[in-house]
Amino acid sequence: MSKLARNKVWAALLLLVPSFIIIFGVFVLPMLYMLMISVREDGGTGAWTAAQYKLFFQDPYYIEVLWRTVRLSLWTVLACLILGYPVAMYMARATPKMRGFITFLILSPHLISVVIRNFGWVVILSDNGFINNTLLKLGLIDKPLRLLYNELGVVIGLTDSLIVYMVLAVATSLYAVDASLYKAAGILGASKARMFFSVTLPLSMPGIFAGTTLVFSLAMSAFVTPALMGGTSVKVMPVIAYEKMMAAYDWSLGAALAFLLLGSTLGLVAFFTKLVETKRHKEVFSS
Amino acid sequence: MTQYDVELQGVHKRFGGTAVVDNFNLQVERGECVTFLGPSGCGKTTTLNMIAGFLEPDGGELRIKGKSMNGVPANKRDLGMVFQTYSLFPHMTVEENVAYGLKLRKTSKRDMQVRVRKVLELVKLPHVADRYPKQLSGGQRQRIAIARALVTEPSLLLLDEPLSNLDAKLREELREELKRLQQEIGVTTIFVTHDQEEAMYLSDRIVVLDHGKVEQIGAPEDIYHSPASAFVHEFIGKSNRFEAVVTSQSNGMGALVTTNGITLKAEQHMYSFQEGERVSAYIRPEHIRMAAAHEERDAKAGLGEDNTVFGTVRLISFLGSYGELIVDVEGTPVTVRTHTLRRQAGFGEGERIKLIWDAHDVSVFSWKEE
Repeated sequence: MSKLARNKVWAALLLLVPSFIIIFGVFVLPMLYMLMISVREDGGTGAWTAAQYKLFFQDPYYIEVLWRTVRLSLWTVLACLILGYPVAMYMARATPKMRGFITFLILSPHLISVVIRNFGWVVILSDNGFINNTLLKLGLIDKPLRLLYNELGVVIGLTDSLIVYMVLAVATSLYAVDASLYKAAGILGASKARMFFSVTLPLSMPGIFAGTTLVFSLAMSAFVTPALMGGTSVKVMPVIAYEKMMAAYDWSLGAALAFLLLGSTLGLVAFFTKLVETKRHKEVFSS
Repeated sequence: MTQYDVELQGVHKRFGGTAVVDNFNLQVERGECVTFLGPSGCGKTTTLNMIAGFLEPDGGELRIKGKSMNGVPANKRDLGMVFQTYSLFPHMTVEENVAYGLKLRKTSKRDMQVRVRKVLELVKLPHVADRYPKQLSGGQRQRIAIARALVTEPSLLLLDEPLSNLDAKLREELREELKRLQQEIGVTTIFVTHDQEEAMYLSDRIVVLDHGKVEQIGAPEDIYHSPASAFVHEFIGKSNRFEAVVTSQSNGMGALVTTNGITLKAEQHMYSFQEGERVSAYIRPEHIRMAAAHEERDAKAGLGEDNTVFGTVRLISFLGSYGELIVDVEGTPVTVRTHTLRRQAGFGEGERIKLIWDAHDVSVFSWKEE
């Protein structure tokens, strides 16, 4: 290596130092500390133990919470995909100006704090909220629908806050599709539905995959929305981890729950990746 | 009544306030290759898109194989199309790409395999069936696109500038290939291009378009040798243009005086000019012969040549199979093409030479604003 090249490497490393300090100091170290708390007695200083993890797997309550967290996250992914895909398709066909406007529209709810946004949903979804009042007045239902403080409420809240990731990820992959491919499929005899399933959908797989991974991970770790819109009956992993630590002062179990959540999220994302990355997918989408 | 493969009757299309295609009339016979040729914005692609079914005409009648296509969507027209950007499905192998149209027609698996193999052999790429489009070169991709368009045996093949994305050598190669395929299969073809050489090479007839209007429809030879308008003359091939006034006119022969004082003789072809009329006169560079200027005196005495002018050679360019000279004639640059570029004495840059051409080779049209 020439002297100049070596200097360049040193300069690059030097520039990385501040971000390395921040990542290491406020992310890696606390995580390691939490891991220690979960596997050693007396707040991370005592003897090694797997007691917290054993407790988790032996108590059906915790397994049920983990399964609920996964289930709600998968429902959220599905809702984001079904509701977000048409928006992404519309964006892909729109003028750049329109694209910008739609991006602003779907990002605009995020200009408001998640707490305020969730209370907004409460006003709309509660028993005497906007939707139930309207339906009752119209005589379409005789008693209010349960739209809040159940799993449906959590999925609605999560979909609202996470759909933007799905839309933007799918739209980005659709922008890259040459519009003449649709013409080619059409002239070869494909109907609109056939065109969607044989051309649009497969070519947006990278976007669907990116969107799914993002929405799923964020839904798994969501705390505020499940706490506010799920009420006391719909407990998810982040909420019970918080409760163990802040209400029961059981830091060891809280830390173990946090790590089990992290592990399940990573495991499931790895599973999605395996599922999506077929030989064809690699062949077609790797650069 | 003869049934044409494609028939356009008074087809028009407007975008906003402008007529993009204006009163388009055309009949294409079975097996014919017709090219839409014109500068960008002339309406050739819009017309092709209307034939393909991607655009609905605002009015007029469009028939394919005698059937009216008004309201028939693209996927119900039984067409084959090749695009400028190849437009192969990147997530499908070559075989799947080619088989796509057959699959939609519910062809049996066995039949499908046979036909895909046959058409891949036709485009001389039987060995790439399992590859993905991105593993192919540009020329190979376009061959596969052609195979995909032909495999369904469409009633009509549409080619939308299929050679424009290829480099010069490949373009020539593929152009030959297209001509061979078109003649072998005998499929009725509509070809859109802005490249006149391609158009002349491939077509039985050329439709020259400008600003949404058909300027001329004819065989390549007719378009080149008997252009119907000043636009066609200027657009096809190279032309020298003189602005002139008709000084006398009799028996289909006219005498003109150009704005810079040269006297020209011209025969009447497409346009009948009147005495005193302002006209544009065109002469093709290859119709001009050169002679040494020392014959100047003889020429003035009248040697029987129709048109003789004198000029100074400004620029000589060697272009391989031919040479090109720019000769200054009374301030007007005149281009001359010759297959025997003589760099010998008397024809060098800065020297005075004589240019001669027949009255028959001069085309005269009504004067048009620049």
